[in-house]
Amino acid sequence: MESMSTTHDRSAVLAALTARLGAERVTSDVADLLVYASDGSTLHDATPAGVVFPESTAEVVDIVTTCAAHGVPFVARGSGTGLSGGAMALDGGIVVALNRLRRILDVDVPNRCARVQPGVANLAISRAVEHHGLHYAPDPSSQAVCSIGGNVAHNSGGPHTLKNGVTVNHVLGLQIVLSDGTLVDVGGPERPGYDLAALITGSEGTFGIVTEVTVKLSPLPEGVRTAIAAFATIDDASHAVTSVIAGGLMPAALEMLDRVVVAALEAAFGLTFPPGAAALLLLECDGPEDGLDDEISRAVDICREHGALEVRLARDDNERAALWTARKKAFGALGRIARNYCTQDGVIPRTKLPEMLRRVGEIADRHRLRVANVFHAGDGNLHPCILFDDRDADERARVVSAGREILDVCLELGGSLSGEHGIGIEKREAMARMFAEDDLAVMRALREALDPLGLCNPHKVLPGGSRCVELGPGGKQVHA
Amino acid sequence: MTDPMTTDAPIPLLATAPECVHCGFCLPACPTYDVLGTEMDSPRGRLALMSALESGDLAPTRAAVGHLDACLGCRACETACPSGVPYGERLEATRATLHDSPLRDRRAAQASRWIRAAVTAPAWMQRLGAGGQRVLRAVGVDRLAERWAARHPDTHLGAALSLWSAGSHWAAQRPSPAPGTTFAPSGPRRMRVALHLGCMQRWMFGGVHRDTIDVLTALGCEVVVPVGQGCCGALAAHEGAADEARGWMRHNLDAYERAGPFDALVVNAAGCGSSLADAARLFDDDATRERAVALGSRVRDVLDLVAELGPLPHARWTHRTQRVAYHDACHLAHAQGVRAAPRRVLEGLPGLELVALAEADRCCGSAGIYNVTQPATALAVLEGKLERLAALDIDVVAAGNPGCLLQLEAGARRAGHTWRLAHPIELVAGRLR
Amino acid sequence: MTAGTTLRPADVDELAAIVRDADAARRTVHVVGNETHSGPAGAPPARADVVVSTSALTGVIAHEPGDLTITVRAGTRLRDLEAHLARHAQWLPAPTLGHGEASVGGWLAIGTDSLATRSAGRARDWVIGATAVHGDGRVARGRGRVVKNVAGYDLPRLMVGSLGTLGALADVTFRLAPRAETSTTLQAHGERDDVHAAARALLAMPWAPTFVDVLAQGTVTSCVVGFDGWPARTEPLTRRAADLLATHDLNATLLDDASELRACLDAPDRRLLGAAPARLALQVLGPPATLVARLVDLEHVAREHGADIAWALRGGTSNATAVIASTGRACLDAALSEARRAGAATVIASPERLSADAVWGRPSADFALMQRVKAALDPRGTFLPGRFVGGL
Repeated sequence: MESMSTTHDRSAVLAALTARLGAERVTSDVADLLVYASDGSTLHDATPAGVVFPESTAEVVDIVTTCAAHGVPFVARGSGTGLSGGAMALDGGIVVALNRLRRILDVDVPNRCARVQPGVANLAISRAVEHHGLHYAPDPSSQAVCSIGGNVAHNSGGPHTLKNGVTVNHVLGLQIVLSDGTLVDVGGPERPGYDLAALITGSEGTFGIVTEVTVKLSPLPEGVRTAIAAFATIDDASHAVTSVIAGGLMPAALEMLDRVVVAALEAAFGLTFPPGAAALLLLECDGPEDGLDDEISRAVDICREHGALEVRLARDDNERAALWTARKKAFGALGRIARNYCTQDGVIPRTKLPEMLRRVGEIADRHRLRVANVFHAGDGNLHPCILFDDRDADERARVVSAGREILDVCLELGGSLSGEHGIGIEKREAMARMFAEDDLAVMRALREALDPLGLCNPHKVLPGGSRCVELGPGGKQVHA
Repeated sequence: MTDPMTTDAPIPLLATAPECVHCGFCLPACPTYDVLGTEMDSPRGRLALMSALESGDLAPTRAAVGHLDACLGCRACETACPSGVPYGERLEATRATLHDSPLRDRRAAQASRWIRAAVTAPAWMQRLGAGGQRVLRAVGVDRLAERWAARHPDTHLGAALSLWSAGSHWAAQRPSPAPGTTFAPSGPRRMRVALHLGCMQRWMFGGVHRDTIDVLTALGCEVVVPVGQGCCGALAAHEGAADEARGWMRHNLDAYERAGPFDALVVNAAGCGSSLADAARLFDDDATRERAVALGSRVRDVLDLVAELGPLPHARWTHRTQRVAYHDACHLAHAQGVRAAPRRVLEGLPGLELVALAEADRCCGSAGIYNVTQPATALAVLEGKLERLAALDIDVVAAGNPGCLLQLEAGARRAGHTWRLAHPIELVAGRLR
Repeated sequence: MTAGTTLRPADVDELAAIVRDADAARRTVHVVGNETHSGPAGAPPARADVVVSTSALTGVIAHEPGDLTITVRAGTRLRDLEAHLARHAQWLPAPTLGHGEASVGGWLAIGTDSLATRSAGRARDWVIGATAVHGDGRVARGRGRVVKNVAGYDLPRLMVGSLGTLGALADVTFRLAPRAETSTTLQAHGERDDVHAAARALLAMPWAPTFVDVLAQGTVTSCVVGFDGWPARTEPLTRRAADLLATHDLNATLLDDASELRACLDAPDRRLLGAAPARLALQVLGPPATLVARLVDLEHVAREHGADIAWALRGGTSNATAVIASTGRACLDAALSEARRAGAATVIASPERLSADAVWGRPSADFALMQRVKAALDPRGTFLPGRFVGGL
């Protein structure tokens, strides 16, 4: 099932592709491979055998067919913002860089959908349709950068998925190149049959390479109200979140930031933090203007009941935009307080938030690590960021242990390993702790059915079965 | 260790320069990633290359050096970077270590050396050159050259020639003031400022300097043009010729210290302003750094100063509304954070309508002499800028940097656009006459 | 159906054992819920050796109101689930008015979407986890009990709408929504063109009603608009909608009790032309903006055959339902071919037994992939071979 391609096979693929696509669009230069060895995560890297830059669907088919003929694995890469190592080529595979496939092919306003190539940036879709009063609703923090293909691979979320749903709720159809080079249009709601588009969404490139995505476009909300509440303790803020949700409100977003994150944001964007506060809650309600003020004031009242030190409404669009810029760039801003960080992506039932955060703090203390918390509180999706210095091998090892323990607590509290970043290489082994062997066997059966050659992004998502790849805490891939 | 979640202890910031955390926010900001479409030609990729070269994980290769040389140095990535990675500084430092490397493109390096030599040549040689240009124009050779250049815009020579031609209307304006001259304010003196002439700016954009002086004196500035000043060294530093850049900067430090007290060092070229403001980056020894910081802190872009000094006395209306698009020079917007002031000044001019330009702070491809050393990429970067400009109904494109003006003028001519290119200070000065 | 006795497993282990035994004996399994609804009709299974009812697999396994999630056994009646949730002022992301008697498992196997699809998503969007028994008796749990989760492949979503051909659902976890404090419903009768124009205008508004449906019965066409929420929102919005309808010359009536109408729109295949004995119910699928024209064409065909037709269009979604009081095979064939001329259509109810191709239409381009999925989860074809699209 797994590919055991040789150096010879890989060279043959690269030579064949160079002959057809030209030397400009195929590289195996050592410097280029170094750059494509990592994606958005900093804990791991894996050097591919080569990188190919297709500029059309036909070329993707050609690349996949050529890889299949030589048994060489491949992985698609969009903007390389993934946080679980999903776009790393293990096993000496080929990276298929899709960032040049970035055309919006068709915008269908009456049917509220758009057909786009996978390399289009998430935000570019919304920009292209905003004059119709529409947008593409899922909004990962990296939306200005991340590609829609990457979003489909990871079933990406974002702050506003609390109300609007994640990628899978907004994908109407896909075009995919299977590992044998077959190009298939996979339908969604407009034809009877299995919901294959939904199955492929979130499969992290293990079924093939998506070459077109038909996305749903949603109307821009008529009004938006944003408030920011400061709390003396993380516990107070967590309880406020639970009460807001249980109180019958459906905010568009409910984001929490702890004081470590705010210190970074202060340095990066001048965001101020009320003294004595340990957590900020960013609340947003959107929808019809009617009732909107009522909705946000209900939420604000709940925050006050839970001891908010200060609640402030964004005065205008500029202020709201500034708050969101700060929130969306929060991960990156952590660079101001640490050389490196490792983002976790656990999910827990909302009511377990206070307990979870307490335990994250305990784990960090035990491993002598600093943690910054910025997360989608409304849906219980945590992003504890463990800060470290990659030059310190011992600290790196402690980061890996702490990350593992945090995920174990998520599972213990009835949660999940990942809310939106995916399993990738990072949480692959942890899958065996979340799922029973039979659960995994069924998933494996599906994978083998859709990728019988085992060439699509091997060693990702599902645990075990890897004979030649070990990723140690040092993160460098070791070929056995 | 203390739990940052429960104590009020301040969160310490990183003591050293922040590292790249791979977030990728720089990618959409990078013009070369946009046109070349490879991670190696993105800021994140180049930082990875620089780190690997620095640590020794990667020995320099022609490809690696090529990707680093393909960087415009526009520093739009610094604006986008949430971590605050000092990209420009790291690029200059890495290029300095590669400066003499045989892996660099020899023709590009040669072109760079020649241009630096030409623009920093002694004044008499430049006068000779300008005379030669007039002779060539008189016998029609310049038109032949321009036509040839238009057909070969992606060659070093073609690019250089078309920029040369693009500069003709500026070159025909009033000459730069002679160093050592002082211009009195038209009313009571509000401040004393020194004017930096630069190299190419001094030679080709004398009219812009004259306009700068006219506007500043009208606003109550005494303007001195210190003797002994020279090139700011930016072109050399961007190229990795660190010693050459340091030499120029020492020269300037001496000259401006000799010029006596002044309130601001006024610069009307974004690249020079950025280089002078950040002069301390070039020096390791504390004494010189201190002098460089002292000078750098007084550097002011002319429009920034004009915005502060307030509306022009007796500004005149133009006979019809002038529709103007403002292009942010990278070294104003990204390197110095000057964005609002030029717009505020232009908007305040009677009869001028500022038209919003999409992605105004995206590089035009000029980037110092990048358009000559990397002509093909520069053209591709320029194309997007021209498309966005072409979507507007405008009379003038304003940019506060000579490189941008030449690049946009050359591009506009090739594409047959009829906008006029102007330094914003020319538009301001136009209201005085 | 050829089965004799119906087996009623009381837990997932018993269900798995039944499937495992059947699989080993190469016998086929037909899982039924409360047998309230047989459609989308589905072709008759080629063989149904063992009939398994989930009627003993009922009840809530876990409900944490603060988390807005609930896990229930597949045989639980939707009505019972709704009643349980109502006690906590919650509901599934939208009410499931028309399907109260159906079991959760049966309802999901058919994949029927709710009246509120446009605003609250499709039924599959509400399912965040499930346990299912697959063809070889293997019990697999997919996803979990948290509202956001991308760990592993989305098996639960794959099960929704697969008509029991990939396995038997044992339990399901839903995400929930706070129950609306108030619901309002407007209905406006009028000229057909006015009704369509008004519906389009309402759908283009950024203040999203829960649903905007168009209902055509006989010569009467009406637009039905619903809002759910709390008074500060629903009251002004209802007024805005009435004003907008008025600009299209439509006089809107605010219904005092809309539960009948809402239930009818939620399950139009069973409630339209309620009195007609022989009914052909079709689900017409396609891009939202194309549906009206297709329904009008279908109307012409029915009238040519002298058959009554009624239809309901769920505005802003990809599906509409048409019910024809069929007068015979010719009408049925003509209606099917018309319905499929410009898109897909499936038969939900039919006066006579139809082949899989007649029920589902010709398979789409991704059918080969569906076959591979079927082979992976039900390698020996234990679950109802031949019943689903293309004979899956």
